[in-house]
Amino acid sequence: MRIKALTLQPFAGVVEKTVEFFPGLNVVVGPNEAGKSTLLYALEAALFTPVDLTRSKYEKLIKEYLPANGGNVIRVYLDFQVNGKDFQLGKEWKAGGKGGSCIFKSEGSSEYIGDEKVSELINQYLPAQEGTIRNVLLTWQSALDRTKDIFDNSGTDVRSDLGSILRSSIMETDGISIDKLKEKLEWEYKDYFNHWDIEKKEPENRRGINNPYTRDVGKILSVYYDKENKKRDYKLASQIEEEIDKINDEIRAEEEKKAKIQEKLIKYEPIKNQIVERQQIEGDLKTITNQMEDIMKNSESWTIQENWLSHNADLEINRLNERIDKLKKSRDQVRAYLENKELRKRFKKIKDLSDRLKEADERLSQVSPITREDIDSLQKKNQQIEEIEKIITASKLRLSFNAKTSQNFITKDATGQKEEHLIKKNHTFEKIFHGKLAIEHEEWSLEVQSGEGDVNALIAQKEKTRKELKAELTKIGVTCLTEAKSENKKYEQYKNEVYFARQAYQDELGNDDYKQLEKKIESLGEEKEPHSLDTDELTANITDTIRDLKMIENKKEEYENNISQWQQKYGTKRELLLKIGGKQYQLEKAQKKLKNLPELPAEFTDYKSFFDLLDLLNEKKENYLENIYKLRDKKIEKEQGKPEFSSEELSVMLNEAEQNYKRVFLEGEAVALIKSKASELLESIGKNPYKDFQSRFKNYFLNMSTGSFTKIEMDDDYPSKLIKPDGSKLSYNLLSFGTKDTFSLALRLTMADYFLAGKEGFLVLDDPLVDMDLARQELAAQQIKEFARKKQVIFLTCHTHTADLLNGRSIKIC
Amino acid sequence: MAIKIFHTADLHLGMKFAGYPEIQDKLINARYETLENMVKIANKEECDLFVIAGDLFDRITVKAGEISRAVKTLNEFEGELVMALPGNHDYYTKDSNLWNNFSQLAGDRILVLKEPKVYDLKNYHLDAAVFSCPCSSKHSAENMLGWISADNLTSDNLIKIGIVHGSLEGVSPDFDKTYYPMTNEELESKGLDPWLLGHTHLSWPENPDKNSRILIPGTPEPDGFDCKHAGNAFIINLEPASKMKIQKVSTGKYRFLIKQITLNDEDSIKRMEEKYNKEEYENTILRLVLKGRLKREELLKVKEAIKSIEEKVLHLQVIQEELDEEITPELINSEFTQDSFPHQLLMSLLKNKDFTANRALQKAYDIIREIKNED
Repeated sequence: MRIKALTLQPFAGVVEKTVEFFPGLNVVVGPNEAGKSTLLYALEAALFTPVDLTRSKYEKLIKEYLPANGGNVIRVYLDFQVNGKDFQLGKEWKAGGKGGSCIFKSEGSSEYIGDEKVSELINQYLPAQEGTIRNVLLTWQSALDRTKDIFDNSGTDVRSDLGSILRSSIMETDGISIDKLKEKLEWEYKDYFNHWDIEKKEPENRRGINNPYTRDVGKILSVYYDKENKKRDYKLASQIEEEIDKINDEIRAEEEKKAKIQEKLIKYEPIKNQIVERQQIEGDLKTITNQMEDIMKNSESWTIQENWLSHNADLEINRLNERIDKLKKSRDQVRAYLENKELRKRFKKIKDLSDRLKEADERLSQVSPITREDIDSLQKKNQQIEEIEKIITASKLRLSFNAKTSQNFITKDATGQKEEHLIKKNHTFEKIFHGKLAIEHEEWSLEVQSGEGDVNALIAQKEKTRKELKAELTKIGVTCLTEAKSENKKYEQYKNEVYFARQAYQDELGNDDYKQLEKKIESLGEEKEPHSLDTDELTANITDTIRDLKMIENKKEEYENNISQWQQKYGTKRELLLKIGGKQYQLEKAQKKLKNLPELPAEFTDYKSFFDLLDLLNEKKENYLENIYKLRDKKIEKEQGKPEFSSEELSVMLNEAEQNYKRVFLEGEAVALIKSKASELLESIGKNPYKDFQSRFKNYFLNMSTGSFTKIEMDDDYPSKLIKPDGSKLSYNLLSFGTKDTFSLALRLTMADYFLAGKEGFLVLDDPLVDMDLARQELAAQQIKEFARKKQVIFLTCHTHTADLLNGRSIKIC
Repeated sequence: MAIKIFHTADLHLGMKFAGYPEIQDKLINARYETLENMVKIANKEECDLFVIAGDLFDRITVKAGEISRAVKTLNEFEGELVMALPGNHDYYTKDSNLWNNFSQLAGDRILVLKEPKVYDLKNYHLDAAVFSCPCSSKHSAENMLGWISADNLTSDNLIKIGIVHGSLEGVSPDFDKTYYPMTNEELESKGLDPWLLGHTHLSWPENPDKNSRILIPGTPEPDGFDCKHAGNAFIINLEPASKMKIQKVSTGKYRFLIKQITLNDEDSIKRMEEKYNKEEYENTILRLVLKGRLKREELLKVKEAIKSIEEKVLHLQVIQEELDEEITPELINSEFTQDSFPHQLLMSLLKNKDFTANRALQKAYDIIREIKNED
């Protein structure tokens, strides 16, 4: 597209003007405010602004171009050529933005109107897309222009790399800083994902609502917390509601139990007092009846006892007393009889003993009184003799006599005892002798005496003693010791008999006097034996009778006491009868009262079980009540712990929170996607630089740099450093403003080349040389002219000097 | 003798509407106004009975002032008797502060149907007996009909009215069967006529006729977007011979409305704006779900339209996640220099067509523009 002519009729300050443009370099010269920029705006409007506009778009895009001197319409006509074919575009805007018109005419072809169609056709013939044309070909808002600020202010070395300057220059042609975009994306990303674990889709470090982050909470985490809080509240509310339902069920169960108890209580409780009264009255009745029975019985007894006392008591007592006396008398008689009988028997015995004593005395008197002492003396002497004999006998002499012829001799022992012996021939005679032996043979005599002691003396002693013994025996009238002993024995025996007989007699007689006894027996004379001699029986009879008497006496006393008590209690018998009447009245009254009281319910056997059941029921009721109160307290406690909202409300809120979470999460995902796409892009752009970009730029820049730089150091396809003629290297931030302008122009020309490659197009330059020194201006003008050989250039300037330098077709605007 | 009943349920006084902080007070208050409105209608229609079949209150912990306000309003009823059945939200227990306070404040012409039993209405000059089925907890897998048996049904000529609260199979959503579930057959088998129900917030039958015997009036004041109607109640004219006339009356103050609108051009935006600027939407809580692809300037129009609708309706919620700016290659080309970073970024996002990529494209475009406008 080559611009042929632009007509403003009117547009902003221009009332009517047509400016023609030619291929190559067109220099539009005019002082400031002469309308150079207006041409640019008109061209931009013709190409890109629809004629039917919304209010806001109108205000933004067209309103300021309404004629300054009044009028509510503006028009722009654009003539252009593409591939030798002519086209005309006309646009008319009306105040307010509505009702404008547009027309697109192509040479020898039809006309088209309407924003949509016209826009479509324009796009068809434009050398590049709208954005590119606006940002590169029509105006130049490269980030490079802002780099001045960036470097002046931050001095960051990120930009010190020439390559990145160029790169970002292209990338940021639209005036959007990549860093800002990245920063913004980072911020957005953080805004969504802060403290959020993207992979696990949960809070970082699993810090849920129980331990939540409170600072820098990302949007996702925030809605997640909100959702989880709602979920917790919902669960809690549901749980508590359920628990309260359960408690209510429990309360109801207790109330039902209580009601059942109450049912029974309602039946029993109201009659309780009357049943108590009934029980009391029934007790009273029993008492009164008992009292009456007592009184009646007493009355009867009184009469009987009184009668008995007055008629029978004394008679019976007398009768019994008499009987006792009689019995006692009989017993005394029997006792006397028996005593006498015993006395007689004793006396007889005493008499017998007396007789026996007499007999014994008689017998004793008839024997010699040889005493024991006598015997002892005799015996002593006898013993002496025996002892002497013993001694003699002890000196044994054995005589063994062998007769060779028959012999006749006499032996004589110590006592003189002689023994005649005839020993036949060849016989042996043997005999033992004591103390002394003597053999007297007719022819001889032989005496042998024991060698021990004087046997003869002994024999003489023995003889002497024998004589003494004999004298004594004679004295006492006996012949020998044996006889003496026998006589002594008799004497001793009789003496004893007398002794024992006397003893028995004395024992029997005791202190009594025989004579007196004898006299007494005599006085008793003959006695008749009573019928019975059993005093025990009589005593038993007496005892029984006394007991009977005692009983009667007791009875009498009892009766008398009774009567005395009754008198004390009742007064007279008449008064007693009156009392019976009184009791009868009480009885009837109580019975009447009882009739009006409810019966003890049939299911009870006694009052105790009735009252026990009542107590039990009341106790149970109290227990149930207590349980109910406890459960109610529990319920109140539960209710206090309940979230502010009901489970239904929370369910709705939770649902909304979940939706919200989903929505925010998706937004976050969108941001994450942008971020990852942006990173991807930046990475791939770094790897795929624009083709031929660097060589073109190098060319333009070195040609415009007045020999200040001889070389540009390349880093891959991008220039990294500028090399001065002395070999020193300069990075971009060290460049002067003029150099930077040169740099900027070189870049723009390079980009225009890039976008218009192989196309027919135009480049509008708005005084880009203004800050360069003269030498540089000349070189820059040279490069622009160079560029204009290939593409149409519309150069706007207010400096005639610049116009002269460019030496292009000059279009003056006044 | 004919008996005329005003039948309502599920007013949920004391509902908090936390999700609507801007209009919370209005929504809370509206429920009391609706009660007043219902009493007025019942008086005008000369109803004998005013029946609330459960959930007059939203919770059992209602402030004393709220209770007295409700009682005061109900006392304005000029018929014979107001009967309030405890529902699952305002269930009755012996220790219920709500109902005990309510009963204390209520005069002898307001009867709380606390017990599952027969209430003889002869004392109120009505030849009817009410079979009450009150709730005693928030949830229950068993309904309250169990106590009604042939033994309770006397053979006298009284009209036997059943009042019960809970979900009705096939009509009310009760997936877990925890809201005193009932079936039509169960209700019909009880030998009562008619059955006045509460719990479900939508009216059923939608258009009752003389044969309708099981009636759900729905909430008289809508309480959320799942309640699309205007709030209803029934006026039931009972004849002794079981002839019945049922009239559905509109009672609500506010409406909840969800509308999905596809916006493709300025006209559709304009139509939307005009429609919801009408008087009839003044008391509407409106949720607009906007869809479509619009140009930037059209989106601005949408913003304007939303603003104007917002001023008209009571409350507006706009969901426009699926309302996108039309970001085309042409748009990108027209705004950005070819091969510039924004140009490349937007173009690469444009390649993917999925939801996230689309959101990313919208977002990236917004961010780029934001940066551009900053400079």
